[in-house]
Amino acid sequence: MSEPSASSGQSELFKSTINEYLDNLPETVHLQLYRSPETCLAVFRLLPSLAKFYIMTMLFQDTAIPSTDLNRWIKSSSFNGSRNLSKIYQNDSLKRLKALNLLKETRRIFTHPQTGQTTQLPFVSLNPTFRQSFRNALTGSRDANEVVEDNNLESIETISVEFLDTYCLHRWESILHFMVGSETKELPSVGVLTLLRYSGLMELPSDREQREHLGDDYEFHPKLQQSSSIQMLKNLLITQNGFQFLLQDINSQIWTLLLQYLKMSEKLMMNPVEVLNFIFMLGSLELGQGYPVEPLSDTQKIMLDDLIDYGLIYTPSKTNKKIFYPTRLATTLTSEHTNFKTSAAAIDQEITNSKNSNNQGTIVVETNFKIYCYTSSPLQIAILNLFVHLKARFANMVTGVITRESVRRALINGITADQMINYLGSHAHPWMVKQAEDKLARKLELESSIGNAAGQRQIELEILPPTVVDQIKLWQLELDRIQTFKGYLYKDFSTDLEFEKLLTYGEEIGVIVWKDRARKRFFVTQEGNGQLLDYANRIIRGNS
Amino acid sequence: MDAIADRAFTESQTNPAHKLVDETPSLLAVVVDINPLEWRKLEKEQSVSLKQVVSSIIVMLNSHLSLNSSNHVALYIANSYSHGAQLIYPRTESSKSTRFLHTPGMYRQFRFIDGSIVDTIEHLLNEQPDTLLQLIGREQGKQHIKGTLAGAMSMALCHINKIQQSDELNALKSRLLVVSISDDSTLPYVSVMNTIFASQKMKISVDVCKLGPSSTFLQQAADATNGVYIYITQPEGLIQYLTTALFIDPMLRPIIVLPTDESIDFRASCFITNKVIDVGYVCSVCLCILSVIPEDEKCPTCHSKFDHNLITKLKRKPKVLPLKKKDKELGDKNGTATPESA
Amino acid sequence: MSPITGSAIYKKKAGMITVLEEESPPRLIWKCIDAGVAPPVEILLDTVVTLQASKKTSPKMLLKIGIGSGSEVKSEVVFAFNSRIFMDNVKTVLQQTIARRKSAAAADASLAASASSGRSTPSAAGSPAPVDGRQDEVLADMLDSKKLLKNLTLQQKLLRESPALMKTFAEAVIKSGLDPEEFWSTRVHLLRSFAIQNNQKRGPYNVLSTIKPVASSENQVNVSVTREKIHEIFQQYPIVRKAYDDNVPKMSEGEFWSRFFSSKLFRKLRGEKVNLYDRGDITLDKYLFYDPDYDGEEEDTDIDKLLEEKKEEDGSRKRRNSEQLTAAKKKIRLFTQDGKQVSKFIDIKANKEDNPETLGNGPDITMKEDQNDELVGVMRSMNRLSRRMMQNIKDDADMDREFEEELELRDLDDANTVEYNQLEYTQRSNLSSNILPADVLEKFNSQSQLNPTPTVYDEYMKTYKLQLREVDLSAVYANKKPLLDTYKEILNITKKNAKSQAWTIKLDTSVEKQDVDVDLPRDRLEALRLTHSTSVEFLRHFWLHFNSISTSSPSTNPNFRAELLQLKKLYTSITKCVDRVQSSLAQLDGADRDLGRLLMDPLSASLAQALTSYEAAIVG
Repeated sequence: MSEPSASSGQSELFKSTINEYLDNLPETVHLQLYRSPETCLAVFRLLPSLAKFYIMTMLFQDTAIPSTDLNRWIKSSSFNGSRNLSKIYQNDSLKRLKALNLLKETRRIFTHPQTGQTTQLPFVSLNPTFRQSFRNALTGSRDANEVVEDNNLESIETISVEFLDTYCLHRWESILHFMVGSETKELPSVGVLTLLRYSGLMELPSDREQREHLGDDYEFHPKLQQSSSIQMLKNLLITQNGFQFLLQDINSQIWTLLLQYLKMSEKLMMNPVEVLNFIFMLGSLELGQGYPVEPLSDTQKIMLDDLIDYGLIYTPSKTNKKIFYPTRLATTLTSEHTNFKTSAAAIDQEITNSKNSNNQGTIVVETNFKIYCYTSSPLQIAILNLFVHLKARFANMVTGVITRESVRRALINGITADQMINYLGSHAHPWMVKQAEDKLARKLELESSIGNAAGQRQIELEILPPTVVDQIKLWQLELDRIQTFKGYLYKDFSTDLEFEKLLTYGEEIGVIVWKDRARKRFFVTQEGNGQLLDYANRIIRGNS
Repeated sequence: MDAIADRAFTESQTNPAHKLVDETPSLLAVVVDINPLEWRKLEKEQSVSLKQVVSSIIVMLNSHLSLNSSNHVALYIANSYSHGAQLIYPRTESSKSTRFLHTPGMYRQFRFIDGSIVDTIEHLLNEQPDTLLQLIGREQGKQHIKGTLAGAMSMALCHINKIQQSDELNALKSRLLVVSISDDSTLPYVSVMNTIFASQKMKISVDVCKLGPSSTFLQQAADATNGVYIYITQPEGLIQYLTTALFIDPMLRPIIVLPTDESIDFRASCFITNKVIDVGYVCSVCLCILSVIPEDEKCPTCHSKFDHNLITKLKRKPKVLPLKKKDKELGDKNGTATPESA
Repeated sequence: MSPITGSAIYKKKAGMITVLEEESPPRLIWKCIDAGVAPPVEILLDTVVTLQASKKTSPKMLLKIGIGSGSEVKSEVVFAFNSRIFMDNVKTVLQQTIARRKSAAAADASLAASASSGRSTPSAAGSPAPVDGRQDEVLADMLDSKKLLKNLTLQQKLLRESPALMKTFAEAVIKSGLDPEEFWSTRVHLLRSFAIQNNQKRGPYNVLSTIKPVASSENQVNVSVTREKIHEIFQQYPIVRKAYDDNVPKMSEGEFWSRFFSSKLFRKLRGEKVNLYDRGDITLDKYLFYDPDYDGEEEDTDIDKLLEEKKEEDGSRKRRNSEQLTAAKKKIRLFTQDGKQVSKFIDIKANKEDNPETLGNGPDITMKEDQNDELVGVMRSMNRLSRRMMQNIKDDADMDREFEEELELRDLDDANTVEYNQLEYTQRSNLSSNILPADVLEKFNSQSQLNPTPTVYDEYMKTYKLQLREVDLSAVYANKKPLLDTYKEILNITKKNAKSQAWTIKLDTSVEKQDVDVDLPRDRLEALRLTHSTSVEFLRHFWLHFNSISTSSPSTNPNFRAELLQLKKLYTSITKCVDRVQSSLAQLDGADRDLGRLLMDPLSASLAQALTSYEAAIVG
C-alpha cells in the first residue's frame, strides 16, 4: 500500500478509524450529533472532497433532487482507467454520505405523460438537521431552541502557551514511557491504565496467558466494573498493537486513545453524543484561553477529569475546577495532518527553546544502514530500540544499525515496515530534509528542462535513502508470503450473462478482488458483498 | 516501490480512489468590484445591492474555510475611487476593532475573519462618496478614470504566489474568483491579458461571477485558465451560484464538469481602443494589435516607426469601377480589355 | 577456360583432340600421336553443320561431325573416344558453337538494319553528371510560375488526376465564367508539385538484374535486350564495353551478346555466385578477373604521358566531362590527391586510416596474397556501388562547412547579449492626440463607465455608505425559489457542457473522418456543398484583387487597369453566386430549408460583405 507521503498516510489511518466509528453509529446518534454546529463542521471536514462538494450543492436547497443529478457533475472520459477511478471515487463518497446519514434516499413515482408508464426515480436530500446546523455554522446564527454554549465568553485568565505545551507533553510522554517500559517517576492514573488495558495496547500477564492459551479464539472482554488495583496495573505489558501505537505520530495516537475512550464510554452509559460534541468542540477552542466549567453538562464534566489525565486539558488545581484550559493537543484535534506536523514541530521548537530534555530527537539515516539519533530522551531511545540494533550511547546521541535481525524482531512483534519508515521519516534531522529537498528541486529542474511532464509528476520527496526504505520493505515481504482477504466467492453461474453483469457492476464499484473468467468465478470483499447482493436483487426483481 | 512484488490480488479499493483526489488545502482569493457608480446602476436596474453580494461572499468564504482546516482566503476590492485596488483580508496590521457580528457561538475562525472583513469594507465604503464628489468637481469628459480590476487581480496573484512559496509542504493549490459588475470599457486590455498569462503559468484557475453587463475579457480569462464564467441571471440566488458553480476546488477540477459558459468570443481587441476587432493591423515588431493607424505613424507600444509609404498605401481607399453604366460607355471602357465572359 | 584436350581416335589412329574456342575462328584440331603418321585435322567450328554422337548406352563412343556450309554437309569426320566424359565435353562445346552460329546468323540479319543506330547508342552514352546539370535547368524552366500557367497539358493532367479539383474547375470556370488563368493563379503550388511528381525518374539501377534469360523450347535460351538496356550495361559496366570493343570486330554483335549472356561474366556482374566449374563462355570469361570498372584505358601504360596530359588539363582548364575520365586517370588523380598536396607528416585524413598499432605492418586485407576472392569481390562490388551512389550526390561545400561549424566549441566565445526591445504600453488614460485624432479620443475617454457626471451623486450614495452597518448573514438564503431556480440553471449548464465534452472526445478519438450529421438528403447536401465551394472560389479572387487595388495605384501596379476590370467581372459573378445560393435553398422545403439556411448563412453574410465593400468603394 504505497502512500503519497508519509504524513498523509497517517491521516488516512486516523481518518479511517474515526470514519469507521462514526459510520457505525446508529441514526439517532447521528441526528443528535448534528445538532451542534461544531460537530457538523468536524464531520464535514472528515469527508472526501467530492462528498463535501455534493453537500454544498444541496445545502441551500430545501427540496430533494434527483440522484442522477449527482452523476451529471462527474466528467466522463474516454479512457477507461480514469473513468473507473472517478466512478469509484464517486461511489465511495456517496457511500460515506449515506453511512453518516447525511444523504437520504427517497423514491418518487413518476408517470410518463405520454406512455403512462410509472417509473420510480430515486431522489436524494440532505439530512435536515445537518443542513440547518451547518447553515448556522456558516452564517453564525443559532436556532432558538439550541443550547447556547457560552464557551467563548471572555476568557477569564490566560496562561502562557509555553507552560501549557510543556505540561501536555509531559503528561503524554509519561504515558508513552510507561508503555515502553522505561522507568518513570510517576505512573499514569488508574483511568489511563484501565484505558490502555481496555484498548488492547497493553495487557496484564494474566491476560497474556489467556491469550496464548486460547490462541485465535481469544477475545478480549475485560470487565470494567471490576477496577483493578493500581498494583496489578503496574504490571501491564505491551502488546503488538501497543508497538504499532508507539510508532504513530502524536495525533493519531491521541485519536486512537480517544476512540477507545468513546467505546469505553458507551459501556459506561455515557452519552456518546455528548462525548463527541465535547471532543469536537475542544477542537475549536483557542489555545491559551481559559473557559468556565459551569456550562458543561455532567457527562462532560466527567470527561474533563479523564482528559486532564491525558494531557488534553489543564486545570490549575484539582480542587478548584472552575476554569479549564485546552492544551495544544486538544486544539489540534480536528485539524488536518499538515497542522499536525507543524504542531508537532512547533512543540519540538518549544521544547528545545525551553531547554527541556524531553525533545523528540532527530535522526540521521545513512545509506549503509547506520543510524545516528541526537537525543537523550529515554522514550525515544526505547522506541528506537524496538527496531534498530543500538550500538553505542553517548551523552547526547545514540548510534545503531538497522539489521535484518532487528527489523525482523520488530516485524514479528507486529510493527509494520511502513510504520518504521514513517517514524524515521517524521523524525528525520532537518539537514536530511533539506538535502532531500535540494535533490528534489534538482530532479524537477532536470525533468522540466527536458519537458517531461509525466516524469515531473512522479518525482517525490525522499527523505530517507531509497536503499534503506526498500530493504526494510523487502524484509517485511520475506515474512509476508501470503496475503489473506476475507470475502465471498461467487461461482457456478447458470448463465454467462449473469456472470458478466455482476462482474462489470462489481468492477465499477471496485469490490472485486480476483476474477477468473475462464471458470466464471470471482471473489468479492466482505464489505462490498452487500452492495453486490443489492444489485443482484434489484435485477432479479426487475426481471421478474 | 511496490513494484518489487507483483500481487495477484488487486488492491483494496479505497486507496486508488483516494489517490485520485488529494485532500490538499487550498487558497481562495476573491476580487470584488465596489465602484459606487456601477452599483448604483445595478441596484436601479436589477435591485441587487452591494450588501447582498458582500454577505453572500462572506458565507462563501466561510464555506471555503470549512472544507479544510488549513484553507486560506484572501479578499481584494477593485475599482474604488479612493484607493484603486486594495487588500481587505488578511491585513498586515492587526485591527483592533474586531466586532462581534454574530452570536458568540460561531466558530472562532469564521467570526474573526468575517468581522475583520466587514469592518474594513465598511470603512472603505464610507470614503467612496467623498472621493467621488471630488472627482466630479474636476473637469468633465477630459479625464479617463482607470478601472483597477486588473490591478486587483495582479495583487491577488502576487499574494497567492507569496503564500505558495512560504508553504513548506508545497501542497497548497489556489484559485481566484472575480466578482465584476462593469463592462470591458473599464478594463485595460493588455493588463488583463498579462494577468491571464500569469495565472496560466501559475496554474491558477480564474472563476468569474458576472453581474450587469457581460465581458469578453473575463470570458477569455476563465477559458484560458480552466475556470468557470457564470453570468448571474438571478441575483437573489447568488449564494447558490457561489457555493456550487464557483466553488469547485482545484483538486476536484479534473473530475468535475465545469458549468462555464462555453460560447466565448475569442476575438482579440485593439490595444488602443479596447474594441473587439475581426480585422485589424498588427505591428511587426511587438505584435501589438491596432484597429486604427496611429496618427504619428509610430507603434504605441514599442515606438517603432512604421513605413510611411506602406501607411499611405493602407490608408488609400479602394476605388473601383462603377457598375451601372450605359451600354455604350461600357463598350468604350472595354475597348482594350479582355473580352468579357458572360 | 583452357582449351579442351583429350585423346581420340581418327581413322583408326590415336591422337589428341584439342578444341580451341577462344581463338578466332574457333576450331578443332586433331593431331596424331606419331607426328608423321597422319596429317593433323583441323575443323573450323564455323563450318560444323551437324553433330552426331553414339548413344549413351552403346559401348562405342563415336562422334560424327558434319562439315559444310549452310545446311549442306559436305564431308564427315568421325572420332572415336575412350572416355565418354571427354566425348560429352567435346560434344557440348561443339553444340554450343553451332547453336551460337545459327542464332548469330539470324540475329545478324535483323541487327544489320539497325546496326548503325545500335552502334550509335553506346557512343552516345552521356555521363550522369552533365545530365544532372541539364536536368536542373530543365526543371527550373518547367517550374517557373508563368510557364506553369501556360502549360495546358500539365493542367489537364492534374485535373484528370484529382476529381475534386475537376469539380471545382467545372463549376467555377466552365459554368460560371471564372477566368481559367485566375483559377490557376491561386493554385500554382499544386501545379508545381504535380510537375515535380511527374518528372521524377527512377535512378540508375543494376540493369543486368532485369535481364532474365527465358528458357524456350528447342533448347534455346532467349534473352530480350533493348537498345536502352545495352546502353545502360555499357554505362554501368565499362568492362563489358571493353569486351565488346575487343571482340565485336571478330564476331558479330548478336553472337557477342548471346555469348555474353551465357557467360560467367554476366552471372558475376549480376551478382550471382559464380561457380568456377560451371560452363561459361571462354572468350568473355577472360574478363571475369578484370575490374568491372576497367574500361581498358590502362593500355596506355605510359603513366607519365597520362600525368602530362593531366597537367595540361589543369593548365588549360578545358572543360571536360568528369565521367570521361578513365579509370586509370581516376587512379592517378587519387594518387596525386586531387592536386592538394598535404605533407604526409600532418596529413590527418591519411594518417587516420593508417593504423600500424592495430593492423601491424601487413598489407590491407584486400591486398594479401591469400585473399579470399569472394570476400574481396564482395567488398569491391560494395565499394563500386557506394562510389556510384556518391557520384550522384551533388557536392555541396556548404554542407560541410555547416557541419564543421556545428562541431565547434563555442564556450570561449563572447557571450551573445540579447538585445531586448523595450515595450511601453500606452495606457488608455495616457492616450494623446498623437495617436488618435482628437474627436475619436474624446469619444473614447467619455466612454469609460467610471467617469462620473454630476448627476450621479444622489440619494443612493447615502445608502451606499451605510450598507454594511448591520449584516445578517442568514438573509443570504432567505428566498427559496430563486435558489431552486439557480440550482436548476447551473445543472442545465453542466449537462450541456458534459454533452459537448463527450461529443468532442468522441470526435477526437474516432479514426475516420466523421461527416456532419445533417438531415438533408445526400444530393441536396452535395449541391449545397458545390455552391459553397464555388462561391468561396469567387470570393477569394475578388478579395485578392480588391485588396491589391486598394493598396496600389496605377503608377505602382502595371496591371491596375486590368485588375479593375477583372474586379468588376468578379463583382457580377458574386451577385450570381448569391442568386445561386438562393436557388439552391429554394429547392429545399420546410425544415430542410431552415437547416439549409442555417448552413449557408455564413456564406451569404460574406457574399453580402463583399458586395457592400465594392459598392462603398465605387468612385464616379
